[in-house]
Amino acid sequence: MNVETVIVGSGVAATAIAKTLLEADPKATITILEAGTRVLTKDYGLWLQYLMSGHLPYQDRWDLPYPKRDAPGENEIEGYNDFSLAGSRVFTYGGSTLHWGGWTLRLKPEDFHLFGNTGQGANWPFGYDELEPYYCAAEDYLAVSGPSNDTTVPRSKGYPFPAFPLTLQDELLANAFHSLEISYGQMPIARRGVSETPSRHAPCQTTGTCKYCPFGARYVAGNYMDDMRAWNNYPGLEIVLGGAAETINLSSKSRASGVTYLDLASNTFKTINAERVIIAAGTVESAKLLLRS
Amino acid sequence: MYQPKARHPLSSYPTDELAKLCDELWSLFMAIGTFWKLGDDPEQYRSVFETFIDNRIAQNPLYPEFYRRTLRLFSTLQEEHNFDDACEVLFVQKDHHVPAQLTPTGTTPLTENDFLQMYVINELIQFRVACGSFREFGAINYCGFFGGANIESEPVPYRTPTVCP
Repeated sequence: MNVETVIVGSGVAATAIAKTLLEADPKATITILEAGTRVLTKDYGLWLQYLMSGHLPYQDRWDLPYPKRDAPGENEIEGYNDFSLAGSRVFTYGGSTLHWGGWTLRLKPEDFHLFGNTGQGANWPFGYDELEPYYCAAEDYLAVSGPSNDTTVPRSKGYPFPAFPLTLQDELLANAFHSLEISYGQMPIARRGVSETPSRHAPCQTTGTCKYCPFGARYVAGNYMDDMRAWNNYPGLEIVLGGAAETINLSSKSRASGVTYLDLASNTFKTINAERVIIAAGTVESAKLLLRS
Repeated sequence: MYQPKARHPLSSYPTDELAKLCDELWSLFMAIGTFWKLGDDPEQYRSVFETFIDNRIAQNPLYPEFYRRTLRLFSTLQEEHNFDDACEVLFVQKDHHVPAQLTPTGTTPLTENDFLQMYVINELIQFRVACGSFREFGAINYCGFFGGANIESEPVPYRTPTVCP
């Protein structure tokens, strides 16, 4: 198989970059390579099951505590602290956005100068101001509801949707902060509100079941990828499920030429040749893939 | 690519039998509101109730049998006692109102009645509440309740402080 772009992973990074590439060239050939398979979203029956039993339809896609998930000896923790990933990632189409809480806080300007400020870690190669327009674009894409008057970070543009009003539960803490003269803010969250901008995606109806939103109001990458497949004329967009990327193939020391992956259904290795390889498999899996390549 | 409705591979329940089962279960569902003296009219929930039953069966093909056995239990309790006592047994025994995953024995109820309590009665109660049964008491933001969209300049569909801090 030969394509222009292969993207490893199908989460938020993969979906957003695929959208950008396809909007620039609707005939672009892009293959999304996802190791997991699909969990139905916006399904009333699965939502009822969650509501009735507390069982989420993607629980079997969570990490198990090591070393149960992998072969003994693989993925050992070398630091002082056991860093468990159990329950933090979802191996499925759409990635961890399937279960994330939608929190979309920006880094603060000072975070970009960590080494300069503390002598530890590293400085970023650019500052907050350079990244700020991309934060705005990301908040638009993710349909974030948040307090546009928040002054903790400089903003050139407000959130696309206003912050959700406080709940009665929030009132207790808000009053406590007031009495202690501690400032507080509302969490920006990728939960679609209502605006005059038309959208195929439903607004939040505050059912209190964000872990499995019955409407898809909280951003889930798989829903957006489905939209691109179902409602746009993108003939070159293909999604391979159950394809675990094994190595990035190189044509030279500085040039990727494709990806070899294990097709989990047939247990055979297959190769996709591509002019461009984008690794969007999450922090841990992306690093593992680079180390294997 | 477009996703189908979630359905267990063995779930294929005839439409006419589903309608009959829903009719029979409806009396049990209404009994929850009657016994608890909920003031809302349950008829408004009829269509979502039928959708609920349809989806539970789609998820698990054993549910028709769960429902039939529960109806038999409800009928037997009414014959042995009366309507109120039967409801007392089914609807207010708090010890049984525990999610399956929180039971001391793990996930499996020990008796048939406990099983029916957990997988049928508790679910029907939970669904009755999620339909909005406690709205008249001022509770509008409980888990699963569809309060409506969050529209700017209109009242939010959940409780907020009278004066937001």
